[in-house]
This record gives sequence, structure tokens and C-alpha cells, in this order.
Amino acid sequence: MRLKCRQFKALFFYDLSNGFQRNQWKWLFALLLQIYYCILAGNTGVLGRFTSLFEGQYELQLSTQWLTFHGFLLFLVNFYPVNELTYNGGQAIIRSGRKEYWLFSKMMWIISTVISYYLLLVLVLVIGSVFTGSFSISPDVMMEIFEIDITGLNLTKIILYWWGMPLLVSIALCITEAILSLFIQPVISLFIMFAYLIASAYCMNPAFLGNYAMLKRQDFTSGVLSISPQNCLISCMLLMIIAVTAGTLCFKRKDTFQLQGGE
Amino acid sequence: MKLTITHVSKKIQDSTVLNDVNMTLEGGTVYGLLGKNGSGKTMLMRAICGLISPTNGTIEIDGMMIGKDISFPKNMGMLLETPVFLPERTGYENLRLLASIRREITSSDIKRVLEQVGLNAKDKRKVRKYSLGMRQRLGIACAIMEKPSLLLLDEPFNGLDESGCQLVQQIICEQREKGCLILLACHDREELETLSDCIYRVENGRFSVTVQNHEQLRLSP
Repeated sequence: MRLKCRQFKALFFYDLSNGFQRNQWKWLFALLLQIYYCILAGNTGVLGRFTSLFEGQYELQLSTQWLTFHGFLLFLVNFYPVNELTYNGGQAIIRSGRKEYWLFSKMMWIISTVISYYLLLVLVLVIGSVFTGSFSISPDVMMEIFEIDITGLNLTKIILYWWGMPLLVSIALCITEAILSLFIQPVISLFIMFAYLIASAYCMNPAFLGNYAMLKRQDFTSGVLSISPQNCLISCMLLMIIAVTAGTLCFKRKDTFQLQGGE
Repeated sequence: MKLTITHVSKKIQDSTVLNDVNMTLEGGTVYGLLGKNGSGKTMLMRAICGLISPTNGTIEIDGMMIGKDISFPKNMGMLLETPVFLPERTGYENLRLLASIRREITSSDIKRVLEQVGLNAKDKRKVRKYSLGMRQRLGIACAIMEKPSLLLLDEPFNGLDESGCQLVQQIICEQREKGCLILLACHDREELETLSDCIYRVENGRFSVTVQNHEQLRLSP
């Protein structure tokens, strides 16, 4: 058991190091994109800047900022697992010991990448606020600019709605996308998930997870009780369980033919 | 080390790429695979690696069935076709990264194996600046660095000059002496004859003719 843990830990650290280095340019672009969002939001404090990014739309419309933020994250995580599968004729996967370890390590890498992406955003927004000198936003200003009522929301709820739910949705979507990319062309899996995100904007239904990641669609603002944190947790967990279980079963039987992939 | 391949077949769509392959291979021996391109040599190596699952039959290593008891053979080194490395890293960095997964060898082991294949561990050049021969040497270093007991080499002489070929021959002999089971696929018949203790001829996925005495091979058409 200890040997398995050690082996898995080594594989995970390998993914952290290798995954980051392979995605260096994408991370740089993510940073620039987030700085751009920060500038775009103006002097609205950390929460205001977050809101401008995650607010989405009440009506069935598409928010460009919201889509680019989530879409770029899908792009960031999509190619590494499949490139690693075929890298140097499968040199990495044969060293992992078991196919399941390899796959779970990639899932852990995806979760780490998504969290890092969100933490980078927090960092950029906080630094942006230090430069502009505006940290907070009053409920009145929030109502006036974003039409979102935050009176009565405590810090825990704000973190849950502004950070927790979008983060959970991102993790579920990225894991599903990465698993799909192992079986179909990675570009196609990216398009499928992108289309699913866009469909969320035009379909206010809890089956479309993107709704949980839009502040103006969440229960406390829209009044639609089904788009709640509880349902978000259940839906995301369900999607992840289905994706990981089906992915693991199919992956165990998957043939690796494309041996000259990678960079 | 004992590798047992029993009635292994592999069908891809309507094409049979491996056709009822049966082999029993022992450690300390070099087995050559001789056949045309697309005859099934690389496919068999992929099946042994655990990268593809046979449609029928089983592959066992020391009694452990691949795909059931284990996903991949433990302690295996491989070089399948042209090696691909991370182009923005040095040869040493590439090997160190791969070695970090198993954590069985140290940095000095990696440096030693690089020297063994004729590469300089202190070379700061990125792999993208390596010649084909240097990449091939790096691929061989990658295959042998973790002291494998099973070594799969698919066309290891590709892109190598004369000294490189001699070096690989020497490495293969050393590995055999250490008790390693070596499966060597090569289109150069003479090279294979020189190195192999036993040669399998591969044709349309069938590993039908076994040549244990090199004289038989020379006499065959």
C-alpha cells in the first residue's frame, strides 16, 4: 500500500512538473487574459471584478468574458493528458505501473490546474485592487452596476457562490473533457465542451452545468431554486463519477496506437 | 524472467495483425524478429508492453498476465520506432523527468548511462538541436537506464553511424550477459544474425519459422 502511495505521489509530481512546463505559454496567456479582465472591470474592488467575470446574463444571452474565462481553461487542460499518453511511444505510461494510476494522476493534475487557474485570478484581482486602491464594493454599487443584491449574504455564502460553484463546474467540465479527449480527437472534445458551455447560456436548465457558474442564474439572484449549491454539487459529482468510471473502464481496454504523438 | 505468449491474435477492423502467436522466451537471450514493414513485429512489442490488448490469447511475464494481473511489465525498457523527447529540454533533463516516475535510479545513474551511449550529460543543447543519431542514442539510454530485465528494441540502429551501431551491439551484449531478455526487431538481416540467439521470422502477423541456428537462416531463401 505504501509502495502504491509512493508510486502515485511520484507520478503526480511528475505530472505537476511536466504539465506546467508543457503549458508555460498557455499559462502566460492566461495571466494576460486575467489582467485584461481586471482592467476591464474598472474600480469595483475584488468582489466587483469577480462579479464582472462570473455574472453571466439573466436573459438567455452569452457573456463573452464568462465564456472566454471558462473556454480558455478547457483549452489549458485539454491536450496534456492525451499528449502524455502517446509521448515517446508511451514511455511515461509504462512507468506508471498501472493504467488506473496514470489516469487518476491526470485527474489530480486537472484538479490542481483548475484550482491554480482560479488562484491566479484571485492573485491578479487582489494585485489589481492594490494598484487601484479599491478593495471592496458596497451592496448599493453592486446593485447599481451588476443588478445583484448581496445584502444578507455572509462571507461563506459569497465564497460559495462567487468561487465555489464556478470552481466545481470547471473541475467537472475539465475532467469530462480530458477523458473524452482520450477516446476522440482532443480538438473535437474541446469543441463539444465549448458547445455545452454555450448551450448553458441559452438554456436555463440545471442539466447545463454552466448555469451554476453564472451568478445571475444562481438561485439567490434568479429565484430559480433548482440552480442551487446543493444541486451544483450533486450534478458535478454525478458527471465526474460517470466520466471517471466510464473512462477508467474504457481506458483499461484502450489500445495505444499513435505512438509518435506528443510535442 | 520468462515471457510466455500463448495463442495471441490481434484484429484491427478486418485486418489480422497478429495471428495465433506462440512463444516462450527466457532471460539472458536475444530474440530477433525479422520481417517486412507492417508484418507485425512492432505490434507484438506493443502487446508485450501492454499498450495494446490482444483480441485473443494471453501474454504472461513470470506468471503475471498482462492486462489482468499487471497493466505493464515491471522493470521493462523499450525503444519503439523513432524516439520522441521534449524538444525544449536537454537529453539529461528528459531522462531525469522520466526517471522521476519510478524513482529507482539517481542522477549519477542517468549521467552514467548517457556517457555509455556516447552522449555528454553536461551538454546544454536542447533535444530539438539533436541529430537523428543523437536522439536514437538518447532513446537507447532511456530504454536501459532503469536496468531492465526485459528490453524491447524496435529498429535500434535507425539513424546511427558505424560507431553508434557498434555501441548498440555492445550494449545489447552487455544486457544479455546481465540476464536481460531482449527482443530485437530489425530489418537488417546481418545485424540480426550477429546479435540474436534465436530468430523469429514474421510474416502477415504469423511468427511461424523459428531459426535457432543461424545457418538455417542463411540457407533459407
